[in-house]
Amino acid sequence: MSAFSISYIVLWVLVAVLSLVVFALVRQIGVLHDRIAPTGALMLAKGLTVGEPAPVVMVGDLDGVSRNVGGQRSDGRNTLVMFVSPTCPVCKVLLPVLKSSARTEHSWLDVLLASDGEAAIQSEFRRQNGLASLPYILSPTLGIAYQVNRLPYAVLLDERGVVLARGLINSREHLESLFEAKRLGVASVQAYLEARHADRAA
Amino acid sequence: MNIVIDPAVSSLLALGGAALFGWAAAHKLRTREAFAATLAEHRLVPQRLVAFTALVLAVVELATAAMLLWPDTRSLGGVVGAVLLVIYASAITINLARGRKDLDCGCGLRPRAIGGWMVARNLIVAVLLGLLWLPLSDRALGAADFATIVATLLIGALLYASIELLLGRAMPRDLFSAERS
Repeated sequence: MSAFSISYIVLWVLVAVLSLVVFALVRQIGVLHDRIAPTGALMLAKGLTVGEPAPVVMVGDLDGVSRNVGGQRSDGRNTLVMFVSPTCPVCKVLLPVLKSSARTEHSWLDVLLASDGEAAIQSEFRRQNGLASLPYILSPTLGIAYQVNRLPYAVLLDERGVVLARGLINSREHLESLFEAKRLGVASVQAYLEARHADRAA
Repeated sequence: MNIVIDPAVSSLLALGGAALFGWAAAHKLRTREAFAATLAEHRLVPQRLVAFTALVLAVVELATAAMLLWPDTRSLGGVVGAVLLVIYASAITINLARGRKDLDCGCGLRPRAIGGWMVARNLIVAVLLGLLWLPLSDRALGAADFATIVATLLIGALLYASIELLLGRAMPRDLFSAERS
C-alpha cells in the first residue's frame, strides 16, 4: 500500500468519527431544547393590562427634553420603557444587553430608560454605563402610573400606545421574550404555555 | 497470508498511545495523593497497598509511553498498554456491577464519573494498541506519511477530547473532596 492510500483510509476514519461527534452534538442540542422550558419575562399580577392603552405621562429626561410616554405615535414606531435604578445590581448586568437589543431592534423600536431620584447620581450612573445613546427619563410619576414595584422592569408599547407585553426582566431571554410576545401576539410566556397546554389537551 | 501493519499506521498508533499514556502518567504523578484516594475509592486493592499500587501504575504508564516511542520496543509497549487498559476496564466494570456509579475514574484533570462507555473506549484503544504486535509491512516512510501522522495525531487528540467531554459525566469537585477527607 502506498503512502497516499494509507492517508486516504486514515482520512475516511477521521471523517467517520467526526460525523459521529457532530451527530452526537446536534442531538445534545435537541435534548437541551427539549429539557429547558421556554423562559420569559415574569408577569406580575399587579400592573398594566396587556392589550389596553398605557397611561400617557408627560416626563422630563436628563437632557432636559420633555416628552410624552404612551399615546399614539405619529412615526409608527414601538417603545420599550425600561425601568432601572443605580441601586439595583441586576440592572447593571442587564444594561449591555439592553444596549445591544436597542441596536438590533433599531428598525422598529425606541428604547427609553426610566428612573427617578437625584439627577446628579442618575447622570453619573448613565455616564459610567455608557448609556448616552438612549434617552434617560427622570420621573417619579411614570413608575407609579405604570405600576412598577420591582426592578428591572420593562413595558413594551405599540405605535398606538397599547401595552404589548410587560414584565420583570432579569436576562436577555426575558427581554427578548417581550419581542417574541409581540411577534406571536401573546401577552406573556405564561399565556403562551397555557395556550400550548390547552392545545395539547384538546 | 501474513497479516501485516503498515509502518505509517503503526507509528500513528504508537505515537497516539504514547501521548495518551504519557499524559495520564504525568497527571497521576503530579496529583499522586488524589489518585491514590481515587484508587482506594474503587475498593479493589488492599488499603496497605494503595499508595504503592498508585505509584506502580503511574510508573508503568510512563514506561509504556517510553516503550511506544522507541521503535524496537514498540510492540511490547503496545501489549503492556493494552493490558493496562483491560485492567482499568475490568476495574470499572466491577464497580459498575457493584452499582457504584458515582466513582471518579481518576483519568482526567476533572473528576469524571465512571460509565459503561469508558469500558468500551478502553477496549477499543486496547485493540488498537494490540495491533502493534503485528509485523510491519515492508515500506519506507516518506514526507506524505509524515504529514498524515502529524495531522491525524492533532485531529485525533481533538476528537478524543471531544468524545470524552460529550460522553463524560462531570462530577462536582467539592462533593468529591468532601468524600475524600
